Amino acid sequence: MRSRTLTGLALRNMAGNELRSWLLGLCAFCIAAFAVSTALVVHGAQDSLRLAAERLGADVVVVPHGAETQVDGALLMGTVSKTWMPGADVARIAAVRGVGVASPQVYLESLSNASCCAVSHMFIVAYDPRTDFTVEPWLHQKLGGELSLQQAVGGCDVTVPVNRNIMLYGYDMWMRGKLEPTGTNLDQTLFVTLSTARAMAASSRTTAVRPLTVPKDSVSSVMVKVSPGQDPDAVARAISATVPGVTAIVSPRMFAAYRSQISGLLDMMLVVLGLLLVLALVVTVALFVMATHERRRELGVLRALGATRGAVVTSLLIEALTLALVGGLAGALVAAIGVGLFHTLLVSALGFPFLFPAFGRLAVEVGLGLALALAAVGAAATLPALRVSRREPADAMRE
Amino acid sequence: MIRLRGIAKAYEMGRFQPVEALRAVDLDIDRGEFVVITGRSGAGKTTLLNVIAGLAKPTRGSVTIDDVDLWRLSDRRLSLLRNRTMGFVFQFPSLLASLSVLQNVMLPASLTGERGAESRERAYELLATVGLGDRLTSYPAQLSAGQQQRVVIARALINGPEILLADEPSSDLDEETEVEIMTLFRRIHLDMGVTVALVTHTRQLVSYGTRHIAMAAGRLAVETPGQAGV
Repeated sequence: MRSRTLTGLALRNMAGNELRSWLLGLCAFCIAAFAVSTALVVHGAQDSLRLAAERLGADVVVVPHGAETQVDGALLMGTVSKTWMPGADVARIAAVRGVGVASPQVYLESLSNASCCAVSHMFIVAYDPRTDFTVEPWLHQKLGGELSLQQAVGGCDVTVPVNRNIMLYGYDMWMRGKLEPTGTNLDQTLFVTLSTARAMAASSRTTAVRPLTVPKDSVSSVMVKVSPGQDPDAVARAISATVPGVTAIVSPRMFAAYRSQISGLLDMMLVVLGLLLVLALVVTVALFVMATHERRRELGVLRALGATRGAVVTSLLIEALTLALVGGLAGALVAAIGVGLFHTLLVSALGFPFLFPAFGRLAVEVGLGLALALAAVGAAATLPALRVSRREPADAMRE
Repeated sequence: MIRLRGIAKAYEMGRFQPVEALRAVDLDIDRGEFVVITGRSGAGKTTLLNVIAGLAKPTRGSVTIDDVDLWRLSDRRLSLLRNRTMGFVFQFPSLLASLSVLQNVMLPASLTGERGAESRERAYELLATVGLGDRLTSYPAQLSAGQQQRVVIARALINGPEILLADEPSSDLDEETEVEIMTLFRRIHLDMGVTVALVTHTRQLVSYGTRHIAMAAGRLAVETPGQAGV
């Protein structure tokens, strides 16, 4: 049987039974939509954590003991850590065997809805340009030099354009550039040097609605690069053992609470997806059993006219797969657009960041969601199609 | 041409005893015959026609067409043989409701991928022959029962079959239309040289055939020459 005839019959059958077609399309829509939104959120979150760790560029991150989650939250979600460690710890950490570079960071935030701040509630990372390896290499590569006093670089989502002034605490700074996206709070973060942060704090006493406090001789965290050939795990253990009151975390284990949250969500989503697949399979099988029963005489006539068993199966599968293609594509696209449009809302509702993927990756996720819908509906339609094709044509035509 | 030997066909009826629709049937139909098969309901007429067509597999016995055993063929070859060698006219409305008259007639040709232009030309001719040349774009629901049956006959002839199998082709038609349809069968038999096996419960139609076979309880009861053959 030629594919044009098969496709034509399938399309006519779809148009002839709108309710069944809508229901089958809906099954495919739900499978694809749920699969794509799950994949976008979970893969996006995993990407975010990886990129955030890469952005920091540290082999080991040292934080005040008990403040691991706070520091993760500061970097990922912009919830500023209120726990500090003594500035003197930076030298102690740097002295630990195996540590190549130890660079302190101070986490600050702008005021919310204050006239002295051009942007509301912005996370600020102040770093030491003499030791920094998080921002400085990027600055040298992209902008050809380090940040001076009253200069800043921002994450990609900072609203102030490059080469414009940005005022925080009534203190004017010059925006020199913007970093690539990570999908985390780092995208809305302003990076300045410790000197600029201190100058801003000094100025804020007279220019800001509420002054900025940069604790003297205290830092929020210390980023550590290990010496070449050194094992980051061993160095982290050595730091924790040598410097009291701090916890050293190797980079792959950073954001542990968020990783566990994402893993929990993934497990839950997979269970829901599994249930949804089972439900869709049951509905599709039921609809196709009904469809093949209704059409058994027509299928018997087709067999009598010379259609092979395979052609009957193919005709039914074309019908199922066309509906799955339309429904699945619609579901996958609606999910992709929905996740993109409500990204901020979802980040706030889920409690962890995720990076919306670039077009190529998005196309792959949409394609996989569509493939899942096609496979599920196709598999469910195959059973009744095979069953009806195995009946004797004379038996199929009998009332 | 058609040879049936020791054919038996039993239908499984769930928990009940199987129903024997055909019992030890031997039948030969030669090329160019017009065989009319009569019998009461349940005599096994339709089952016999289905067995000849390879639409129902006999429980016992063999069916050969031009010395080819149907049930030794693969599904693909049996389907092709049905498509090329046989035409069917069923008792029930068998046109596909979603296809136009022209598309219905062309369907058997398109099933084997024949070029549309050739089969379209032949469909025009056949529909003109059955008197429906002006209803090409109509749909089955827009036709009377007699017109639908004429479209089915045109469809049965689209691939130029050697055998035409008709199961109660005029059972739902009024007397006048029945005569028209049966006259059409006789013309097809005489003009095109097609072998016809026609099942009916009406003895009046026996006169159209060259041979008459009466069936009872799954067996061939009486064989007589039909009036057309006398």
